[in-house]
Amino acid sequence: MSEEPLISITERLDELLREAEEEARRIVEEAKAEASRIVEKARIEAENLRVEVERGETLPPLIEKEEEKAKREGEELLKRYEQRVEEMRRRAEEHFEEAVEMVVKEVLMR
Amino acid sequence: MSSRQVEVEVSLIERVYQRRKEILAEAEREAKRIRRAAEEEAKRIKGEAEKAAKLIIDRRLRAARERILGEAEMEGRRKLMEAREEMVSRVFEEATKRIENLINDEERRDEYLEILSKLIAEAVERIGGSEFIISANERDLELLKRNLGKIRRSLPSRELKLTLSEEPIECLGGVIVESGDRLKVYNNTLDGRLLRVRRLLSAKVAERLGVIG
Repeated sequence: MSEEPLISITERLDELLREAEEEARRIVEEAKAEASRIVEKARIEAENLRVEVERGETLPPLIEKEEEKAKREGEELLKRYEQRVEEMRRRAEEHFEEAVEMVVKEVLMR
Repeated sequence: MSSRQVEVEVSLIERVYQRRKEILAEAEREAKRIRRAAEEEAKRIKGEAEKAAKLIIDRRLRAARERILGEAEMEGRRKLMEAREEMVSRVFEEATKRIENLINDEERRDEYLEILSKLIAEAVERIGGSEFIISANERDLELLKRNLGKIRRSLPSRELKLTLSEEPIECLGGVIVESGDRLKVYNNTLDGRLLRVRRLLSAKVAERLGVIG
């Protein structure tokens, strides 16, 4: 009879531990479920981004900006070519006479 | 209940509470680890997706850029090439004008006759043989008729038979020489020579003008 309270308390303590383990399992399961939601959300976002980019929905403003930039660079490039053309014409004028003479000599067998 | 029994009970309760605390703490740690791993995985997935998207975007942006710059580059090269062609053409136009001036200049008749002699000599040498028919435009045929003896004497071999064609040809000047049997023809008109020189020497003319490269 003297051991009865101890047995009773042991049962209650066992119950307490079982509850704690149950609570621990719930905490872990909840974390797993949340982890799945986090990963799934990331997958959906990644897929949406891929589809969006593939469709080119986000591209027009970016492309327009890049095209503007490239056009400016293209104009600069053309200017450099025009400078080369001018330089070439100037050089050609300097040597024009000798080039004409070379052709005349060749044609007339001088 | 004895004091010993109470002590045992208290100790048991303390141990159980400690164990409960540990179980819950362990579960919290595990939950935290799981969430952290999931967040890292999510970060990796998003990172990869962004990387792939960036690749696609970069590729399209690069294509747009290369298209525009490529067109500008081509336009620039075209302008350069046209200017080069124009300069070379001007040289040939001017050379043609000077040749026409020489041909039409009465005071330089002897100089032109000497040129005609050289043109005939070259044609004769290239064709080979001993009999030749010479064609030229009306003006040059007249000039040649008057100076055929002189021309014959200027050729390396004096045994050659030169006949002038009765039919004048349309050309700037110079001659077309045929073998006596008319099987071989050498076009040494100035028009023909201008074309040949243009074909063969355009690069050299461009080089002389300094417009190459």
